[in-house]
Amino acid sequence: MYFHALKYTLKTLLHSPGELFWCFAFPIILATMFSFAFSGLAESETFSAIPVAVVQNDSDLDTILTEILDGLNTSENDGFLKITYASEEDALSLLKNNDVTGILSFDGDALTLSIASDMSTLRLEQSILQVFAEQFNLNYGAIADIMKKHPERLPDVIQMLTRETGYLTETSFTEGNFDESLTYFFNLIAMTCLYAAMMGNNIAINNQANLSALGARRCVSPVHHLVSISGDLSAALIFQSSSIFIGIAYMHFALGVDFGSQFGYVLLASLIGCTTGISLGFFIGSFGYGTRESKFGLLMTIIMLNCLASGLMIGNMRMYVEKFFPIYNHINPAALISDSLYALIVYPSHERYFINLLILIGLSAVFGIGGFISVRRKKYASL
Amino acid sequence: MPVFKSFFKIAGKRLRSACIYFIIYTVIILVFSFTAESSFDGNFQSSELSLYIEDHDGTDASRALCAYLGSLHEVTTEPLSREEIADRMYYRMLNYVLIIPQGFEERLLAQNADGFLDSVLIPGSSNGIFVNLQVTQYIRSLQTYLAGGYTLSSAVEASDRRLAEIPAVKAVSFGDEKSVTDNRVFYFYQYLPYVFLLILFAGMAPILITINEPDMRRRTLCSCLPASGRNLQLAAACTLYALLVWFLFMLLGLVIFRQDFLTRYSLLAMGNSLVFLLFCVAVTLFVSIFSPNENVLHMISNIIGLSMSFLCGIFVPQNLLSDGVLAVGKFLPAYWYIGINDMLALSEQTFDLHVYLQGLGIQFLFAAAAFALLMAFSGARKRSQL
Repeated sequence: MYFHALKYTLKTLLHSPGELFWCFAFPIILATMFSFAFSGLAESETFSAIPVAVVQNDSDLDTILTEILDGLNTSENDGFLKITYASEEDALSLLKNNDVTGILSFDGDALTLSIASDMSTLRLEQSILQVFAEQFNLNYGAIADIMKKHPERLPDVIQMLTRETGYLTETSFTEGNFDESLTYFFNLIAMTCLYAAMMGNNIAINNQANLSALGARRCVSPVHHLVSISGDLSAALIFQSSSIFIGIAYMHFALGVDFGSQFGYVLLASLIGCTTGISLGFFIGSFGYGTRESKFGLLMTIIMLNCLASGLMIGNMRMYVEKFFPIYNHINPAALISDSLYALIVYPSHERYFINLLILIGLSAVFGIGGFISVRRKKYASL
Repeated sequence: MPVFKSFFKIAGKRLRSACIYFIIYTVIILVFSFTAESSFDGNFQSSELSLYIEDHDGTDASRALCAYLGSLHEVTTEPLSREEIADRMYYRMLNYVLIIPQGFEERLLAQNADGFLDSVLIPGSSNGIFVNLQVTQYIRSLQTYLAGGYTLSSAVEASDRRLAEIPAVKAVSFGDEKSVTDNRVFYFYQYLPYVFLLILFAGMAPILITINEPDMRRRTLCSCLPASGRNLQLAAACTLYALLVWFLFMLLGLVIFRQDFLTRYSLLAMGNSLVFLLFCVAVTLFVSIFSPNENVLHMISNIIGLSMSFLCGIFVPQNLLSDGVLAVGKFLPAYWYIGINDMLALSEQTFDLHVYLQGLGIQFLFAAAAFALLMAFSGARKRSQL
């Protein structure tokens, strides 16, 4: 009877073209949109030469500044500054039209930076220019101080300043991929897994006589609830995991989303994620005496809040949760699924991945058993 | 007004789930508004990043460097595991890690600190380059004074004095008016399109689907009520429902932001949201004529809502999106909505009534196009069902 229930639930799902299409199309359409939308995100984080206008006023300092700037000026992207020498009026016009990020000019002995106050989106570039101006002023000030106090040491100082120095060595703690946009794809997979909850919810409703005609028929049939429901849930799992496997394959092979080299582990995480989603829906659908609509509303609330907290809309939301309410990250199925996928690409060991999966399995067991307990031996005075 | 009344009767029956949706989207919009980074207020403030420093040297020189960075950024010095650091860097909660090995001061005094400090950053990121520059600038200043015969303590003192004397960055304003609006108000407006779309799909579409069920539709059409009357009543009911949703969110904004919600630019943003609401109503009506079930309805609403949000700059600011994405975004009303909202958020310099009205007009045209599509499909479906 288990296989009978499985077969007919699968047939029902396959004979619903609308649901079939959207279940398979949902991750594919959204992944395509994400891929397109995030195509420029990595570049926006990468440093590129900052356009700046320089106003000269024929002082001695201008010559020194020009020498330094000429070393940094470049028309290519891998340089530091893209410099336009201009009069004060022209420089302001360039700033107003957003053609430059700032204007460098001398105010007495100090190099000053002027920026447009409505260009707050370029604050980092403005800050980098500020550091450049500071560095110039610091060196100029240091030379002035040393000339006053220890003029005999000036040659050493000039030699020190003209020497190319790098105090920092870049290191890394992990070889993992730090592409921020990946988190949105992980959360999309998590959301698709949790959307399986809607199937679990339908299965629960279709097994309750007060909520559906099918439930009423099933209630009077001699088949054990556990057997028929297990068949239904298995069919939902096969259906939903197929859709998500196709979605992941599409993301990886067609869109080039980097899941690392452990594709099997990615599929395993999504399979367990689907199981948690279905059991969550089954539990909500079975629990209490709410109407179909209110159960559905409650389920959507849980799914949306979980996805919000795991970072579907704002990528680093998971870290805010970690800061203020860390336990939620350990019981939120969406966060656990996305974190499993994240752990795969960032950490060489699988410890964190398997801990997440074990919690997901635990949650699935709690929801599944809770749901079974809720639907078993229900009696109705009249239907 | 039987159709109008039955619309609200069905809405009444679904009140509990509508309340659930209202609460969840209220929570979502508040989380969005309050987690958005604080805005630019016209006085330039250098980018404040999140740094983690491991000081293994513990000398005056290393402490001076830490104090300098601490005065510019949010610095964490409590020990973090490598896993915690990687997590924070991946989620951009930590921008830079500086490790000061033992012996830093000795190397500094010996003018031999080249490549001695370790840094961890997102490869090639502007944030990393920014902090690298600051670290280099400070050490170089110390080394300059040390080369000039200063002691370490006097070099630190002189560098700090010189840093304090550096003239502030001049913020040039190209407008005349000063904005007084709290920018979180505009973050609130920024996320409204996503919320409106999802809440109307979740709350209003199921009512329309019930009314559009073939049997009920046929019963209504064969009654003495003309089809145009039915459609008119349905349109009035939908408009009232949507206006109610809009009013509740405006009330929420007023309760949270109080006076800031009633400034001139906030009121203009309110008008912007009202025009976008028209488009949301049209799309909801359009999708509901295909009578999808609730599961499918949620998937469609998320596809439209999330896609529009990511392509038009609701979740990711427009300045971070590539030109190609923005070119596609122009074919969606949310792009124009966000364009207006961004302009209003920086109202003191950039407000242009012509641009505002143009944006509203384009959104209005999108809504009109969606209504036209709705009428065409609705007519075709009616003929096929009868």
